[in-house]
Amino acid sequence: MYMLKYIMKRLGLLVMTFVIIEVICFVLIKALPIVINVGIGQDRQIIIAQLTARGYFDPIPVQFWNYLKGIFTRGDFGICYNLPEYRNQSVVEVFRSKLPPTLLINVYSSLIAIPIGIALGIFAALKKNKWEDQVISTTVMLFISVPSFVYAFLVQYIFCFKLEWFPLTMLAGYDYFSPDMFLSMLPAVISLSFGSIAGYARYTRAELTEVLTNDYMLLARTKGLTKAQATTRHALRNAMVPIFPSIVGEFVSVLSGSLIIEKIFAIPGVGGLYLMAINAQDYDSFMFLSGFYILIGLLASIVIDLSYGVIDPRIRMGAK
Amino acid sequence: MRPEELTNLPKEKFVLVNENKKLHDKELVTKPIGFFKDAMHRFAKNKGSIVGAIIIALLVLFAIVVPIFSQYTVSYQDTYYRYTLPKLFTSENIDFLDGGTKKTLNEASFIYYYSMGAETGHNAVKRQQYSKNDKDMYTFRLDTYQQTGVVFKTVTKEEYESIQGYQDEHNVQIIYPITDPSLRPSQNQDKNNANYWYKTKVNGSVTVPDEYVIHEDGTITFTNIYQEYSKPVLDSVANATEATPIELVPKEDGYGILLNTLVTTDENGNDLETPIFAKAGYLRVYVEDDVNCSEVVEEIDDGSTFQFNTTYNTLVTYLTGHTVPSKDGYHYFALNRITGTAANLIHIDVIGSDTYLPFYLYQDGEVVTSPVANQQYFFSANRQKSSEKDYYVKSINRGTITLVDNRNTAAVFTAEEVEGGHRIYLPGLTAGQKSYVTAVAQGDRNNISTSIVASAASTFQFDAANHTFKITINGHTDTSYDGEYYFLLNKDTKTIYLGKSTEVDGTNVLYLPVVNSGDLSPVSAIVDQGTYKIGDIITTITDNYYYINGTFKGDNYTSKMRIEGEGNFKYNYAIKKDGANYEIRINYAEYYLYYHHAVLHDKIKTAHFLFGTTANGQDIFTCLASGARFSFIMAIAVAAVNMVVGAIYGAIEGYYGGKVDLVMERIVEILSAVPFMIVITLLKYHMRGSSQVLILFIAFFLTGWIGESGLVRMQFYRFKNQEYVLAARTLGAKDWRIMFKHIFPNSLGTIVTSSVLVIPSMIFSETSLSYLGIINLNSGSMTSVGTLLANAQPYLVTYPHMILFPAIFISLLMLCFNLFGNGLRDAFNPSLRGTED
Repeated sequence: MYMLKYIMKRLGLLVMTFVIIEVICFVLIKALPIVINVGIGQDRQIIIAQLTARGYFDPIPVQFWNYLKGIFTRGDFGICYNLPEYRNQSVVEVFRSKLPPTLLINVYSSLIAIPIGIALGIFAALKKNKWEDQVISTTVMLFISVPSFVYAFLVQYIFCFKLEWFPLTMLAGYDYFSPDMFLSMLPAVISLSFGSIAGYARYTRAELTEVLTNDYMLLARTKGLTKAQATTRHALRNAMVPIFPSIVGEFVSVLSGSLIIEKIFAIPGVGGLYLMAINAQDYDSFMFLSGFYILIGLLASIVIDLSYGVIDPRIRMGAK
Repeated sequence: MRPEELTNLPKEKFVLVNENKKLHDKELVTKPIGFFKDAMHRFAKNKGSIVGAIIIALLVLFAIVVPIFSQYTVSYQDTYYRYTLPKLFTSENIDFLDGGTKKTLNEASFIYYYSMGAETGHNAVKRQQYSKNDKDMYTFRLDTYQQTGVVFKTVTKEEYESIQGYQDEHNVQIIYPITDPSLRPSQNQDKNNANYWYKTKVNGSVTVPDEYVIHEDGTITFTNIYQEYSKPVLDSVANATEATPIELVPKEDGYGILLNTLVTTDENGNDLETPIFAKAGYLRVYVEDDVNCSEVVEEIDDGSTFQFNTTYNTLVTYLTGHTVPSKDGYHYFALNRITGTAANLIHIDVIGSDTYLPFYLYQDGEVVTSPVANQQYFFSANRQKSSEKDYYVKSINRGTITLVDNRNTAAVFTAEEVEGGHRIYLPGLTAGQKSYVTAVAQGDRNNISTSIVASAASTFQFDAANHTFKITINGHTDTSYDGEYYFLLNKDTKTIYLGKSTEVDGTNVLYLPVVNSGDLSPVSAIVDQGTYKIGDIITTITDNYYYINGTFKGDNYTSKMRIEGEGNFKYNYAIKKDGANYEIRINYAEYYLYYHHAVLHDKIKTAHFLFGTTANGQDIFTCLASGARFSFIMAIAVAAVNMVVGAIYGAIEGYYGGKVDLVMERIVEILSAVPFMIVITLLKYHMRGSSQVLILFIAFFLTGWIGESGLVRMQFYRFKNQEYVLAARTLGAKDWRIMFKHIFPNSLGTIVTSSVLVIPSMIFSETSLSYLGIINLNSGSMTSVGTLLANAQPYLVTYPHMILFPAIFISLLMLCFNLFGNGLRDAFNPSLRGTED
C-alpha cells in the first residue's frame, strides 16, 4: 500500500512538474515573433495564411487552448512549417520517422556497454589493488573523463578512415536492420559505449568492493562456499541493488540519444531533428521535442527510484 | 585465580592509582590543525590529484601566457597559409612535426611542387628529395609552408617600389619574373596559378615546349623559362612612343573617333545588307573594384551568351556569329541589356544552395524547366509574345543575384517593350555601386524597393596587361545605350574589331562613351588611319609598346635583385594593369615576411605555426589558448556566482524547512527538470541581439546553482538541530548569524569540491554547445575550443591536426579536473573516500 501511495504521489508530482514546464515553454515560445523561412517554390503569403488559419497569430491563451484541444482531440502537435525537408508534415509523424535510428543506436550501445562494463567492474573488484585493478581503474578514469565526441573523432578517423572498416557516416535509408546499415551504425555505437562501459565498470567496482568486505561474506566462506559461489550468490546480488536501477534509468534515457554523436555520424535521429528545429526556429517541433526530452528526464528519475523498491524488498519508499 | 576468589576481594588489596600525584590536563604537544589545513594534508597524499592539479595549473598558464606572447592573434588569418601542418622542428633533417607531410602523387602534381624549389629555392618538396615507384608515382615530403609557391599580385606603384626597396635592403628576392598573360596555359585554373611558369608557351608559338626533363640520375631540369617567356629588347623605344594614339573628337555625348570612310559595300560594289562580323572574339567586363579578376573565356557556339561569373564578380560576354544584331539593332554585348532576339541567352551561375535560380526557362513563352538549386540555367530572352512575364529579383548584393520565381513576392523586373521585342536590364554587378537594374517593388511584405538607375558614365579602357578592353560599367549613358557600336578584342590575334558606327554629317563617327573619371584614360590603342568596314581589324597592337626593357615605360626603379636576362633577352618584371597598378609575381613566403615586417610592423617574425593552422589560416596554438582562456574565465565566473546564489538559497531552504522548503524545493525540481538545451535555446531566441557570451552565462547561471543549493540544504538539515546551534540560539544569535556563522562552514568542503567539479562540466557544455552550433562564439577576435572543434570536423580526414590539438586539450583538461576534483572531495570528506560517483 505504501508503495502504491508512493508511486501515485511521485506520478502526481511528475505530471505537475511536466505541465508547469510545458506551460512556461509554450508561453516563452509563443511570445517570440514567428520566423518564416521561405523555401524554393513556396509562397510566403500561403504560409502566413496557413499559420493564420492554424491560429498562430491569436492571443497566447487562445493558442494554448487550441494547442491542448489539438493534442487531445486529434493528437495534433503542430506542423513543421519551417523545416525545409519536412515542410507541412505533422510533427509527430516526423518524430516517429526519426525515432528508430536513435533508439537502435542507443539500445545497441547499452547492450554492448552493460555486460562489458559490469564484467570489468566485477573483475576489478575481485582483483582489488592488484595490477589488473590498477589498469582497469586508470583506464576507466581516462574513459570517463574524455568527452564522447573525442572518441567519436578517434573512432571515425581510425576505424572508418584509416582502416576502412566502417563507412564514415551512417547510411541513408530506412532499412534499419540490414547488415550494411548495422555496420554503418557501429562507429556511433562504439563511440557511445566507451563512456557507458567506463561508468558501469566504476560503479560496479565501487559497490562490489564494499559488499565484499561485509561480514556475511566471511560467513559465506566459513560455511564452505567457494569464493565463486560466495561472490555470485551473496556479493553480486547485493551489489546489484544500486546497479540495477541505474541500468533501468539508462534504458529510459536511451530514448533521448546523444546530440553530438548523431551530428558527427550524420545519424538521421531525434537529436538531428532537434538541432534542425532549433536552427530553423521551427517552434512546433521545438516545443514537441522539448516536451519529449523533459518527459524522458522526469521518467528516468522516477523509474530509478521505483526500481529500488522492486529489486530490494527492504527498501520501501515513502514508508513511515 | 579462581572466580570465587575474585568475588570477595578484601579491601586492602585495592590500591589507589596516582595516590601521590595530582591529575593534570596534559598540555597539547601539537598545535590544533584547521579544517582546511587538514584537508590539504590529505590532499597532498593523493598523487593522482597532485598530478592533475599541476597539469591544470600548466593549462591555465598556457591559456594566460600564450595569448599575450604569441606573435599571432585570434583575428589573424592568412588565406595562403591555410591548412598548414604543425611545426615544432625547423631543422631540415627532421621529418617529424616539421610542417610537412608525406605525399604520393602523380608526375604532373609532383612536378608542380618540385618546380617551386627549382625556380625560387624555397623548396616545397623537402630537400628536393623524392622517390619514384613502379607505378610512376612520386613519393616526397611536402612542406606545407612552401606549398603556395608564387602568386600573382596586383600592387600599387608605391607598394611596388616599397617591395623593391625591401629586396635591396634585406637582400632577398620577392618578385620573380612574370609571365605574359597571353602565353600562360589556356586552362583557367592553370592560367591564374603563378606556379605554372614551366608551362608557359614560347613567344609566338601556341604549343608548350618540353617543360622539364627528368634525368636518369634523378635530377630534374626545367627549360629556361625566363628566356621562353621574355620579350626581345626593343631596338628603339621611340618607335613605340611615337605611335599616334587614336584621335578622339569631343562630341555632345562623348567622344567620337573619326574614320575616313566607312565602306558598306562588298567587292562588287553592292551594298552590304548584312555586314559581316567577327566570328570569334570576346569582351571582358570587369567590375571596377576587382582588379584581380580573370575569368573563363571560351569558344562560344552560335548566339551570344551572357554569363555572370560569381567567383570574380564579373560579367563575361561571349560573342560569336553575330549576324542578327545589326538587323535588330539591339545588341550591346553584355553591358546592359538583353534584346528580344531568341539568340540571346542569359546564363547565371547559381552559387550556393540558398541562392535561388532567377528564372524559369522559357522557350517561346512556354515554361520548359523549373529552377533547381545548384544548377546552371539558360534563360531565353524570347518574350515577344509575352508581356505578362515578370521576373522577380529577391536581392541584389555584391554580385550575387538572388531572384525568386514569380510565386514569391519580391522586387520585380519589368520587361520594357522595345522595337523588335522586350528587354530587361541585367542586375547590378557590385555592391554599393550603380547598376542597371530597374526593379520595381511590389507586394505588401518585405517591400524591397530596389530602384537603381543608370548614372554617371561607362568607361572603356584598354587593359594593357590582358590585352582587353576594360569596361567599367558603372552607370551607362545614353550614348552607349543607343549607339550602335562595339569593340571587340581578339586576344589571340591582338586585334580590335570595330562594331558599328553611325554617320554624322557625312562622316562616320564612332562614339566612345564619356570618360569622366580622372584616372581612367580613353582608349589607348594605336590605331592606324585608314579605311575600315565593319568587322575589319582597326589596328594591331604592338607588344613593344607595353613592354620595355623588361619592365615598363615610366618604371624607373631598378632593384639590384632584378634578374637580368640572358643574351638578347630581358625579363618582364611586372605588368602594368590599369591606372597605376602593377601585376607582379611574388614568392609568397618572402612576401609574407615583407608584408609583416615592412607594412604591418606587427609581432610576426616568421611564419611558424606550432599546432598548424585552420581552414581560415588562423594559428591553432593561439586560438586554442585564447579559447581556453575564455572557457576558464567563463567557468570560474559562473562557478563563483552559482556558489553564492546556491549557498544562500540552500541555506534558507535547509534552515527554515517546512513550507518554505516545500515551495522552494518544488521550484528547484521544476528548474532542474528542464534540459539545459531548452534553457539555452529559449534564451537565444529571446535575446536575439545580445552577445552570445551573455546568453551562455545566463543559461549556465539559471540551472547551475541548483546542485549547490541541494548540497547546502542537506548540510543544513544535518546540522541545524545540533546542540551547538541550540546553544547559539539560546544565547540570542540571529537566524542569519546561526546560518552563516555556525552551520554554513560545515558545508564549505562540499561546496568547494562541487564548485571545482562544476568547472570541467561547464567547459564541456560550452564546447558541446559551440560544436552543435547552438551558441556561436566565433567572432573576429574570439573563439572557443568547441568552435575550433566544430570548424575542424569537415577536415577530420584530410587535416586531422586541426581537430587533434583541441581534442587533446579538452580531454586532458577533463581528466585532470576529474582527478583533482576527486582528490579534493576525498580530502574534504574522508568518509566518502573510495565511493566514487
